[in-house]
Amino acid sequence: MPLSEFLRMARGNLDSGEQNKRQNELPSRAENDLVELVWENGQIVMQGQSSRGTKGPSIRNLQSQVPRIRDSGIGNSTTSRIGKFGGVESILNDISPIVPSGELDVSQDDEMVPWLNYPVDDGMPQDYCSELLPEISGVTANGMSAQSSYATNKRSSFDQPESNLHNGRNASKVSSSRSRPSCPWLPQQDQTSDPSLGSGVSDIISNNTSNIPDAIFGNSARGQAIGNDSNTVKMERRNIEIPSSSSNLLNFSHFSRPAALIRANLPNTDGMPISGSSGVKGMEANEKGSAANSSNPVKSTLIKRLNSTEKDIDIHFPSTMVCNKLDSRSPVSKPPKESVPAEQTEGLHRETYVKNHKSLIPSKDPNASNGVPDSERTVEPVVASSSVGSGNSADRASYDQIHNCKRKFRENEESDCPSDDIETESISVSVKKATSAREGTGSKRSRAAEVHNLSERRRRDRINEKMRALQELIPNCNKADKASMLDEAIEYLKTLQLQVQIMSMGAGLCMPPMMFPPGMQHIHPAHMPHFSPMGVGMGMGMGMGMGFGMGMLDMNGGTPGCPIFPVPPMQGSHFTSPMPGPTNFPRMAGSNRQIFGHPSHGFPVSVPQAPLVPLAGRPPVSSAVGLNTSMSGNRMDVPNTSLTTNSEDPIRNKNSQLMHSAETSSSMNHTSNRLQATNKVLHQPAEVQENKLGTDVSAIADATPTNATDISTKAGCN
Amino acid sequence: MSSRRSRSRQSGVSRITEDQIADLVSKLQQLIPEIRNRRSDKVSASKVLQETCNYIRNLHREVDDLSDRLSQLLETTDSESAQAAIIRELTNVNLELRCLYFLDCYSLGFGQYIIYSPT
Repeated sequence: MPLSEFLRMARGNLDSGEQNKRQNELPSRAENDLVELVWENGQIVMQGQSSRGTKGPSIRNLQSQVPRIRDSGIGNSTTSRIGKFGGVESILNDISPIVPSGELDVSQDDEMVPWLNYPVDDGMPQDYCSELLPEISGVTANGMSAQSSYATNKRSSFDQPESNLHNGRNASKVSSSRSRPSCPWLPQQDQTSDPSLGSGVSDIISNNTSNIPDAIFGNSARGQAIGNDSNTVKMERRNIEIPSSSSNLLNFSHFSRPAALIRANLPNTDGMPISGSSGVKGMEANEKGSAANSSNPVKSTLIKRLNSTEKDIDIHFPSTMVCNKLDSRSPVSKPPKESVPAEQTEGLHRETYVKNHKSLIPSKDPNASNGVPDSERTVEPVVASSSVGSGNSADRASYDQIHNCKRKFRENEESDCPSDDIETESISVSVKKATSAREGTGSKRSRAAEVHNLSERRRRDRINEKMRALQELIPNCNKADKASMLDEAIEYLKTLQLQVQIMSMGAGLCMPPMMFPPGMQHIHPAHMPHFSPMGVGMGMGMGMGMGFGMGMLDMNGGTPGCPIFPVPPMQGSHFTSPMPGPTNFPRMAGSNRQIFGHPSHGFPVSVPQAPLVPLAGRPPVSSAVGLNTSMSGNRMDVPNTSLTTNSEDPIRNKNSQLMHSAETSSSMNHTSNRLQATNKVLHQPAEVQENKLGTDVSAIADATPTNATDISTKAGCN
Repeated sequence: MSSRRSRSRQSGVSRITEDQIADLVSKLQQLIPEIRNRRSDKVSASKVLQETCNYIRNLHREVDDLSDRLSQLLETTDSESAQAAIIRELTNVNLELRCLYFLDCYSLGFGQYIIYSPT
């Protein structure tokens, strides 16, 4: 049947939202539809007891699952997607009867439609039906037992009607689980534990999985039972036997069958194969759970089934034997089926033993013969595959690689069904999910811790990197530990700031004098941006620049410079007498001139006055000013004075800066050191300058020795 | 328990240095106008360090610019003029500052006498 037609049909059904229509249409379509109908009927039967509300969410989940499945990218090829969707579609079918028409969203329906189409359009061959029927019939029997076991095992709270409902849900879920590998976090899971969820409780998972397939089969079986009586009988046997065996065994057998069914479907339709793969996934999940719960033989049986559904002659458990035989018989009769399961088995094996299976696959009968030895081997391979899957789950890339490998193998073998890849992929994906889910629950906390560690490490790395950069920026910094590094950085930063201040001062000072009186305002803005980052230093620089042009008055009253520094009191004392701008130059000169002399005279005087050296340095100037004004006030020229003032100002600035830093750092020693050094330095340059200028050589000569003596005396005194 | 205690002790030791470092970082932060002006109490250490690096680079650039300008001024101005003297002095001061920096780095506590000289 063309897909388009099918789509229309599906749409019509979905839109109508009426189950009846669907049912009516289904018979007309194809046998596939019949299968679906059967399921629906079964569900419907179940539904009578089930509440709609519960199923509504399931539908939503399915929808949500679908996009997720797409995202998961499991199906690299479009066909694979279709297959998945087909699985979803089956779910939809199941659900649709259950859910009221109103619940389904149109958009969702639309999405669902395409998927629906695929499975349907394949025009289910009768093989499919026949295959399904035996299994289904078996399932029915199983379903009964499964239900009972399910009710007893898992949810004591649920009544049997409820269990029936659950089964119905499970059926939907099963389909969902098939498609689901991508979405383990479905809300539905609570009811039916998805293998993919891997809640960590292997028992529960296995039980749930078993229940799900059982439920499905039961549903389908009811509808299909009519078709194959013989199969049903066999299945019943199997079921009977199964109950005797562990529940896990039953589950596995059931799963294998659904997988087989799906496989049968696969050759026909892409979507179906996918579902089959999902079924296989479920199988694997079950196997895992069984691995935990059941003994190894169970695994082996399961594995065998997976490997060769037809072959399974060598079964540890008679019940499984019967089932396998039955299955194998049915497939034999139906060629399409055979090819499909073989491929699927190949897919499974490919993950682990691609080579062995290759040889096995081509000839089915030989496979059966091989199946015996393989079965034991397969047990391990299955485990291996699961582990591989988990590994893959971590990395998509790796998964992809594996996938590619699989593809290659597939190409070599060239199975008839394109679905093989999809199957293998889906299987691996499912394995991944299951494993990842299991791991996830246990390692959630550890993962969080890991993330935290990672972030922390990243942060530390970043800091270390910055530290290294800082170390490169700081000259002569060979400190290893962070603390001293930071210390050094701070010191260096301070000195740099000071340096920039002074230099900018000089640059500002050296501006052509013409500009100063009128250019004061200009200078401000010009330098403001430059110094703005400097903060403290800026104020000083500005003050200096102003001081040159305007005189010290600005320093005193200048809000930019003075308020910032602790110095103002000193300056106030020094310049208390208001100096009206340019007119003060002569006076300034006098005072500045004094500065040269100040070291000699000032220091002794200052010591008593100010407790702190920086302060002392300043006050002495004032005292010196008083003294020197009388002496040498006239000698100094204006340029000289300006120079001296400037020279003195930097000192002051320095001092103030130093004081500031001292206050901030509260390390007086450093500041004192600096002050001393700065004073010396300033004196020397001043002397040099004066010498060059040749203005007050004598005074300087006087001052210099006195300076030295003063310092020495100071040191001595202290 | 013993392991935990020992760990806590270790962490205590590291805590000290960590506090120290945090203190230093905050000091550093105060020196950097960009961060200081931000006034947001929470600044990551890496951010502070980054800004410090940037700031130091800026300062270096500034110093270079200024020294260039000063040298230009020195060239243009009369060597005998007061401005030249000033510039020279400033450059001297600059050198002095650098010396001071290194002196600071290598000689601590030398100036004790001088500080408390008044007594």
